[in-house]
Amino acid sequence: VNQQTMTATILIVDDYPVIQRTLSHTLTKHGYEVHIAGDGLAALALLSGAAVDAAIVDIAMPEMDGLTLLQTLRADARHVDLPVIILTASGQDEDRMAAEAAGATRFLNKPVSSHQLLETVAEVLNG
Amino acid sequence: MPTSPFQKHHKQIEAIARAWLAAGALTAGVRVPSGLTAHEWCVGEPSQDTLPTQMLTAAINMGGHGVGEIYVELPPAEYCHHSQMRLNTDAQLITRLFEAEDELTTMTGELVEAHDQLIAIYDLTESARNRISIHELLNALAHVAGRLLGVGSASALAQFNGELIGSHYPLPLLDERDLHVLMQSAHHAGRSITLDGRSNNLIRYSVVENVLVEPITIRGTLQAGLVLVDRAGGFGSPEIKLIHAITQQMGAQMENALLYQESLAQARLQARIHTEMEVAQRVQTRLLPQTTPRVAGLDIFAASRPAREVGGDMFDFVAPLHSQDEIVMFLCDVSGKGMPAALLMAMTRTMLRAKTKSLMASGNCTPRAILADANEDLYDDFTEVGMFVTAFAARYTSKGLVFTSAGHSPVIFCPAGGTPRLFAADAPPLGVLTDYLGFDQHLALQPGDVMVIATDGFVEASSPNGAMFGVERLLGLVQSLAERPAAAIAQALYDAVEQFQGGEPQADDQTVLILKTRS
Repeated sequence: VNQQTMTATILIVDDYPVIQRTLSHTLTKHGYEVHIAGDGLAALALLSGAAVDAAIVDIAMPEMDGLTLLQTLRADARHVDLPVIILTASGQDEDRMAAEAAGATRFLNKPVSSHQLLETVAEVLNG
Repeated sequence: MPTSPFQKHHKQIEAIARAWLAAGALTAGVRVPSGLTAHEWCVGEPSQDTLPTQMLTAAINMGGHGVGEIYVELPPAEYCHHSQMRLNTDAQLITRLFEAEDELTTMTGELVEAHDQLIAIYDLTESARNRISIHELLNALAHVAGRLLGVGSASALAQFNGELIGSHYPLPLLDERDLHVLMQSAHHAGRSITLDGRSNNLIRYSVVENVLVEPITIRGTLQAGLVLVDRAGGFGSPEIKLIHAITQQMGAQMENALLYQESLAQARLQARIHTEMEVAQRVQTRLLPQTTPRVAGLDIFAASRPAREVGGDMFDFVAPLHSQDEIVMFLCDVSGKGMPAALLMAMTRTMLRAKTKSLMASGNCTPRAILADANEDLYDDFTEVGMFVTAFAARYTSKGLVFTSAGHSPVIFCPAGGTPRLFAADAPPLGVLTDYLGFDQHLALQPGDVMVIATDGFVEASSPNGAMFGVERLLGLVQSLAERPAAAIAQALYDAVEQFQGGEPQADDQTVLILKTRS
């Protein structure tokens, strides 16, 4: 994890408060700035006013799910290159394929260890 | 830069400040110890009123230390003696909010640590699944721990039978001697140890920065361990806890692997013994007569059912060449069971056959003479191993039956249409005394008379509730079966004793010889 990524801002999009808090804890402990959104719509609202360097997105969420959010981001010139890590508990191959088709940068299954999360975030930030 | 508690609880603090503004305050806000205003809200334009305003403050504390203060500026008209009390209460509320957040952050950290430990154990279990050798498990441990913590080198070691075996990921940064010393040090300490490479004598000549050594004890005595070398940032409490958790798990898997290997070795040994016992049983079965001899005027049947693969019971027939009206019969029971009894049974059989043929040739063949001669030769060998053999020997001719019993029971005679009676043994078993003290008993047989000679495996057979089959039951059965042919009597006896045992394992060999004079 280099110095450049240490100051990066990460958007967490997940409707489950425990996930929001644990991911946020791990990332802030390692120097990242964190924004949290409870679903896709909240994420879009937040992105319109704040710059983020990468997003960690759940799939199943109310209002707007993660795949719809991902498709919306990829259709928006401002966010077409935003690194997006899909993090889901579904574990189904169809979700992985759908996420890759929608333009996910990486796909992780819950549960994910802190080490794997940090490693993946560092990788997507470093391109 | 980490988010400050003031920023994190911006909404709640703003709500408190706005409540003050609504109550007539000119300004309300919080500020950190340096005096820098963290958040401040005020209403309208700054007051042009020349009247002096009242500034109130209350400290916000965390863990006994001031982290900031809340303040309000009140016009004189709004100030009263309750204002400071209310502000103090607000400060306490914010303090409690910060403390609760702090507790939640600590708990979240512990949750993440526990979560990471569980995932690591899961990963380790997955990667160690189906690995049944200690070396494979050490390999899995070194790989998982090394990758998980991103160390320069991970070495998983174990000492078995005086030999140190190990696996390294990716390559060892310390030599084998240093690794061994480190593992022993951790075992001596009874816990994990962390070392600074530049200050520790053990590894001072190495170029490593830091070391974590976690001991693994298998079955309370066998030593194993994990040595992690050079982690950027060193080894803190979360890393030590994580490594402790996965090495504990690996220790359990190593115990299972050892148990599996031992079970496998035991199973192989058992299989080999079983095979040898099967061969022994086949040999012993071949030693028993394969057919029932034909003798004029006598219906004969004999069978043996060993309790284990091989047994110490035997029966045998010796007939003179070209003779169909004379036969010598034996039924013996060597003390004990299994292979030792079977070996002595084979020896006894050979001896009895040899003595019988020799006596037949000399024209002095009587059951007593056979057993006396055999005892003379067997005595030393049986005494040497502390065993003996009960023996029933009989010679049948057209004149009747002559028999002797060396400690053998039961010997039952059931005259045609009469009541069965038990013959007592007339001498101790063979191998007990140097001289055979038995004598020949003569029995003139009538058509339909039945003799049943069995081993104690019949009368001592146990039912599931511990009752014994017993002689009386056997006598009653013989009487009820006496009308049947010899083979049918034997079959009915086996059926009856098997039913009596009620599925309990057969405790002793069961051998029977049935003689019935033909009508």
